[in-house]
Amino acid sequence: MTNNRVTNFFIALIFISSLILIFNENLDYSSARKFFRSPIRPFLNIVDFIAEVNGRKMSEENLTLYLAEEMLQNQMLESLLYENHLLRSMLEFRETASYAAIPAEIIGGNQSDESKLVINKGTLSGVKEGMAVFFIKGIVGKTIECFEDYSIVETHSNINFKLGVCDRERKNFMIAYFYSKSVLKVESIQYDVRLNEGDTLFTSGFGNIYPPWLPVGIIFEAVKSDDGEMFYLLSCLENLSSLRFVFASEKKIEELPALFSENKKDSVGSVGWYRMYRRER
Amino acid sequence: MIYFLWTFILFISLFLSVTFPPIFSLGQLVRIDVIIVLLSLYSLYLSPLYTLPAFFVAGLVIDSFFMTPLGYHSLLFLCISYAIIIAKGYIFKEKYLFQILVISMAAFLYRITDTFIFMARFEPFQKSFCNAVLSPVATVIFYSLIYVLVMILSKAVKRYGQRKQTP
Repeated sequence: MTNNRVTNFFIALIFISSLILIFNENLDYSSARKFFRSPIRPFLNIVDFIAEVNGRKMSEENLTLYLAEEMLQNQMLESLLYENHLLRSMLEFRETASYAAIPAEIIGGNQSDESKLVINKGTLSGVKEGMAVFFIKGIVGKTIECFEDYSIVETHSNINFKLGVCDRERKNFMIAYFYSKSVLKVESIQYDVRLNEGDTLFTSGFGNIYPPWLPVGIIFEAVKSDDGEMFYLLSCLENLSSLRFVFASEKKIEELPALFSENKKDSVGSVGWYRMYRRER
Repeated sequence: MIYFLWTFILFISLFLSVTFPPIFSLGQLVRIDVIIVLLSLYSLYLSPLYTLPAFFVAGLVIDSFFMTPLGYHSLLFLCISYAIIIAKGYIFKEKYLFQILVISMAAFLYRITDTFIFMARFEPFQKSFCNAVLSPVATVIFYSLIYVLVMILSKAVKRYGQRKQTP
């Protein structure tokens, strides 16, 4: 029924389209595609514009809901960012620390006075009773009870808390006691000690619990009691309410300061009960 | 002059075909091929010397938008169009049933080829089934609706003309 002209025309068009199809792999048709898209593109842009305008016409209720969702998402992102920073700094801290620190997450505690915390590491992870608990900024407390998979920490806001502190130069050694929530009272100050407000105090390293050089807090007030004795009030550096992770560390015996290590003298002999030593030069 | 109108209609159907998300679709899975309806009708009623080049270019435009190999749709449209041009001498093209038959065959051929070339290996069976079977059915239903609408309109126009002539 079709005449030769149509058949020839059809064959020619089929030949052209086959050629175009065959050379798809070898030739770059991106400009051709762009050219063929150009007549329709403005209409598609109009459709996109209309869709965008319709999207903007949201009811107030939907808009509020949308805003709330966005805010929630933002908060989640912020919290993730904070957590990321925190974990990074924990990693750095752990790498730079000279002592082995066991990282743990806080899973509970005494909400009202923050005197006790519960961490998710126990004896199975190597946490023992009497280990120092601290974080990046400073001291948190010590473990007082350890179970298989969790431990209880006595914090610096606990009434029983006590630790030896010293200044940056390690010249003045004092004892800090619990005073109030996140505040320690530094006592046993010698008469010639002059510390200023804003000075940071560190752990002295005396005793078997806290390793030396851990920041404890900043002096914010020097108080003179009625009997004329001086004491400092120390604001602890770690805020327990916002704390999520801690480190637990066991103090090694060699960390004891040389100041109190005994220098055993070699005896050269003894006469009865009397022991003779070599004279030091 | 009337061919400008056909070209404009072809242009509109191209626009409807390449819009994403598709305007005539059910859940973006079952798509109505407006361009195939037009291809069938043009091949049935218009001159092949207009239909063949028009759909050759239309195929290139669709390839540019769908990022299919350039020339694929042209080749397919040309084949379908030529088959309809050959077949139209043997059928009663004014009858609705034959129109439906032609459109359904064209849509089915187009979708089956599309499914076997682009979808069968990558897409799940459900999507392939929708593409190969449900899309032609939807296209036929769409054409039926358009047909009924056109019939009602033409009857209304005829009646209006008769009323105008009576006085």
